[in-house]
Amino acid sequence: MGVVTQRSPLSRRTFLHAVGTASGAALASGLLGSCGSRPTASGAQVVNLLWSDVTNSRTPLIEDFTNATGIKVNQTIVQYNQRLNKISTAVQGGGDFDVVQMDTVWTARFAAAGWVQDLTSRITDAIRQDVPPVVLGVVTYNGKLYGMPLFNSAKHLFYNAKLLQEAGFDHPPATLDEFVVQAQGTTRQGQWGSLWSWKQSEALLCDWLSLMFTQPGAQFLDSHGMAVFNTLGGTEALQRMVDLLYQHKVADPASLESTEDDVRRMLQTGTYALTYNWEGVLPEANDPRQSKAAPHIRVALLPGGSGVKSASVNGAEGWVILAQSRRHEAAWKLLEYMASPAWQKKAALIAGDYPILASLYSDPELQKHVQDFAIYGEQFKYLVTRPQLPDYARKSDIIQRHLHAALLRKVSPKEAMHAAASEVNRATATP
Amino acid sequence: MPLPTFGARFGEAFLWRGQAPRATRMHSGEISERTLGVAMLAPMVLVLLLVVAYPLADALWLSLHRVNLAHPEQGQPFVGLGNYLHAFRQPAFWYALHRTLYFTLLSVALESALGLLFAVLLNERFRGNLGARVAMIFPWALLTVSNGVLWAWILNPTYGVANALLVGLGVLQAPKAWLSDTFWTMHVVVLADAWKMVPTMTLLLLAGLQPIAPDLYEAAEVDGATRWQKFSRITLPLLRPVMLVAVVLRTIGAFRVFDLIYVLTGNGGPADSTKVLAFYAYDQAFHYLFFGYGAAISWLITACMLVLIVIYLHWLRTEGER
Repeated sequence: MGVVTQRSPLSRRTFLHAVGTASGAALASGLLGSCGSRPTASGAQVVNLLWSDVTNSRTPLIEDFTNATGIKVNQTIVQYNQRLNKISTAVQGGGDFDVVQMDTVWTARFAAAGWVQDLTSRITDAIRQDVPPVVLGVVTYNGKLYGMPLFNSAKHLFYNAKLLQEAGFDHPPATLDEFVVQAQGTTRQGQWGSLWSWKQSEALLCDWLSLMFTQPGAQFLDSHGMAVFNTLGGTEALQRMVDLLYQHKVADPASLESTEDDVRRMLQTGTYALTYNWEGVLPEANDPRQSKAAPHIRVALLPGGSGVKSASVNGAEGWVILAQSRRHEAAWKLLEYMASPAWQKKAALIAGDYPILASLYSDPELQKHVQDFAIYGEQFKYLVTRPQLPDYARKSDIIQRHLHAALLRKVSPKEAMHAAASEVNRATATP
Repeated sequence: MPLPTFGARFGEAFLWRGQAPRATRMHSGEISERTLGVAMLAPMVLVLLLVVAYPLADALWLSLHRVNLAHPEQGQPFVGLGNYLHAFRQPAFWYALHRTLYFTLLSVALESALGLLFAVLLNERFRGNLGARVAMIFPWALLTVSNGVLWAWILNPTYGVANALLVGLGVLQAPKAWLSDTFWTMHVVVLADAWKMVPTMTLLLLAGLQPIAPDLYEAAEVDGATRWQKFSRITLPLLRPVMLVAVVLRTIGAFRVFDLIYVLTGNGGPADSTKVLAFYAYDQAFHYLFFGYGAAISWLITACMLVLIVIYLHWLRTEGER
């Protein structure tokens, strides 16, 4: 039997009606609001920038640019891993960016797809004179320049001077043969002569290339764009990696699951003598509050081979102007300012960026401020730029897989390299 | 008088719904209950269409076209089932399917077994039962990415606690690089997944255990049944419907595993030994920008899950008819 209830002054229907109307109005106003939310700056010029200054340490540089030019910069800051997705979405209509930060391995992809503007005619002789060609190579595809390098980056040798001294070595290895000897001398119970970032990732490919190009005549692609690394240095480099693990037993097996970040952290335990890594290792590694290895970590050139003083991989990044940008001039002014000594020197001082300008490596203030600054400048002279291929990501993945299979002793280095080259050459542009 | 059961109440509701709707006298200007209901639901339906139906339909459209964002000059030609046929010709696709099935089978089996064990234990009265139930929920509440980072630290060969413990106990002579081994990596991923998901299984099964009447066990005891006989003849049969639902849910979750593997291995390594289908689809779409092919792989994953769900539903129906 039903229960008779007296209706309250605010009936359920009236209440629902009111809530429905309010919700609908809120939804509609939200949608309309978002449609018209484009930032405007009351006549001031604006540039929308997507980059990865995740520590916000470069904000003063952006402020300097705005003070110098009157152009406001709207920054969108994302982690490196999110940046490619963000750019891909933006060029499909999902974002209004003018300038984006681009990794060197994306240059060919962005240029071939027509996502970025050709800036060849804008890069002046004054800029070209102080930015070495290998640094400009970061933003070069088919002879055209598509952006401006943002900072210099390469792999360097970071070593524990105390462990080397205890083993009787008073200098870091200059050649790979010397590297093996010193790694053998420093490998003992609870301590490894070397640690590498050989996880199946781009880091593995970078180390392999650094070893491969210590050989005169090493080559990745031939003049027709076909992979020839298997016969021109790649197999020997991979054999050396396998030997470090299993014949000499001087590479920690943990290398196979380590990234550069892992290597940086593990070097701080004070139990590793020799490591390859990008710059930025020293401040933390020599801070006694964070590192057991402090203050013994030093930097040196990566070891070379016969007739090759050193070889490292170019890890620099650049800024490009998206083809869809409607604010070309303001965007170019931002790139131009970024390449100026004012930005480059201050970026080195406040954010630890390594300048793209060769002249700054002899700057007394920078040499005083950054430990072993000149060594970094020297290493940047011996750089290999990874092949500029539109489908580099896919081909790199193929090589990484085969390298890892050999490092796990599933196949021989020779078999792995032949299979990798064959698969790279068969990989078509689109499935 | 027997207490109303869920079925009885459901039946009453069903009957009530079957009755002719009571006539409602409407005043002029008032909208009907039905119109109001539709109006209230419309925004939600609209949102669902936008965020679920549209992406699904768009992904289907993409899967039937050749779409390579890195080569816009190629256009987006219609290729019919070309992307699907291409997948079937790729050894990498079959390998990823094999890895996915292996992970799914192993993780669901392990989680079901441990979930059942913990559910039976927690169903007993003992001191600290409530604390144990609360502790059970912690891993479940953890983000999958955090879980991955946690296990990466635990397993680190240099400073990880797992190696320190095993070497300290004399199980290992030297620290082991677990994630550098094609055999161990997959099993470590299964372990990390089980650590997080066993609580889900336990809670679902515990909910299924609690309505089982104690009288049944008492009667069995009177008949002289052993603990195993009570478990196998009473608990398991009565728990089976709940268990099937739990297994279906976990199978769907395990089949599309991605984030845990991404955090632990980075690239589906070592040597692609953990490259499951979701990772393969991610690589194709977001790494290589083959959006058409990536969409086709995503639909194939959905199709595989649908097949598994239909099989489970068939079992469930068979159980219901027994």
